[in-house]
Amino acid sequence: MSLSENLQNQADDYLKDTLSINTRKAFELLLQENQELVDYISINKEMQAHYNEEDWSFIDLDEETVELEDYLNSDEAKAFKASVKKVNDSFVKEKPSNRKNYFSYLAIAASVVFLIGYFVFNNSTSNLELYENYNSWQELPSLINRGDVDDTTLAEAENAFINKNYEKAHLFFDAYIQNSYTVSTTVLLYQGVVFLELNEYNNALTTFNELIESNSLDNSKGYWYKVLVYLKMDDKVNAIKQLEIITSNPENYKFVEAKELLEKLRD
Amino acid sequence: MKDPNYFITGLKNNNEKVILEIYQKVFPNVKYFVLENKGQHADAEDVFQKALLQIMARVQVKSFQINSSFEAYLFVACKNLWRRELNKRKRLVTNDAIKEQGSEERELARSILEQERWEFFQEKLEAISGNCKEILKRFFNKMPYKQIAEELDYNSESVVRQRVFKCKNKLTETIKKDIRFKELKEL
Repeated sequence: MSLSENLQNQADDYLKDTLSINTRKAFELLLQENQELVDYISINKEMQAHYNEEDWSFIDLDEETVELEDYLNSDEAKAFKASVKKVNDSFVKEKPSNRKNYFSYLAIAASVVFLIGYFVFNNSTSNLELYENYNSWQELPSLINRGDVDDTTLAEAENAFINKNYEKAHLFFDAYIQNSYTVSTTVLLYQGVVFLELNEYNNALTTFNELIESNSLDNSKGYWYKVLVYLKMDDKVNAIKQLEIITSNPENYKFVEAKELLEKLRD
Repeated sequence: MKDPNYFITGLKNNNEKVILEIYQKVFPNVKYFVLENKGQHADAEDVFQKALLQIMARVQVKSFQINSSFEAYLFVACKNLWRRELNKRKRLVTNDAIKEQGSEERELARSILEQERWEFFQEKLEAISGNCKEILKRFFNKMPYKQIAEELDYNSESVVRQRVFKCKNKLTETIKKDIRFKELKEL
């Protein structure tokens, strides 16, 4: 059964707030006993908000939010949020200003000049010497500024790493990885480098492979670091293989450097 | 159009490449919409990230599915989140119904329930006839009967009044018939 037209009109006026005080009071009394009228009012309110592009209808009760909040507070949701934030930041910064471009060209030019100079004057550069040329690790992003990482284990690990105490860094990274729901690519990078510094080549390669197989935007970093592992191992053939992968796509990490290095190794 | 499950699976796996693809496809439109509607670039970024989290939470907690195109769905979700945000700001300014805001997670959880309700009503509106849709759209936007009669070519105000009455009854009926209405009412 539906409401009479008269009652509907009153309800519409009630919603528009155009009833006189007395009629309004009488109407509110009606509302208390007429569920149909209550539904009518709530549906109409909702429709008004729905159609009006500028309105939004907020909910009043919070009982239903518990389950959703549990998920939103979970480690899983936090890892998801971190991934989205990372993509967001790199997407937004993708269009660099001319100024930034200028500097990166300058940096590339400088490194090319440096490499040429290096190769011209060091004709007999060994693979290990090449490795020494790249292993400053200063390009590794800091672990601490990644949003809600307030993990002391990670801070300890980075500290040990900076102080070149790789044994200690290894212990802390290991502890961190064991206790984490997901491990960021940055942590994988550090862990791989720690293995490399400790001459645990197989572990280093496994870690960088893990990075390459991840869905991370910067997974191509893994190839570059594998090059460094092979250089240190004095394994020219495999180093070249990795460099060939890097140079097959200009989007890959260290594309320019890889090209230079590849030419040198093929000589 | 790519299968919406391609994107959902990508999100479930934290696949940053798929997330990037989503950004490339949808973010420019969202940015344009927010900038056109009193927002800044940072607002667009915020809304976009929240909308993705919203989808994810619904997939994980409520086994939610997208039946249209993922891109279109995401755009509407962003649009609604921005509408919500603007209304929240308005409420804060006018001191109207100041409610304890709660944590970021609670706010997002609320926005999810509101979005669900929005989708329910949207579905019901789509289900009524085109003629009713046009007339109710104007009515709920508070357009006077007289103007509705002119715009939609009705003979008189009273005819419009009759149509509104009938269309509203039909709409109310379909809404109340749906079992989901009872759940939504509790909110």
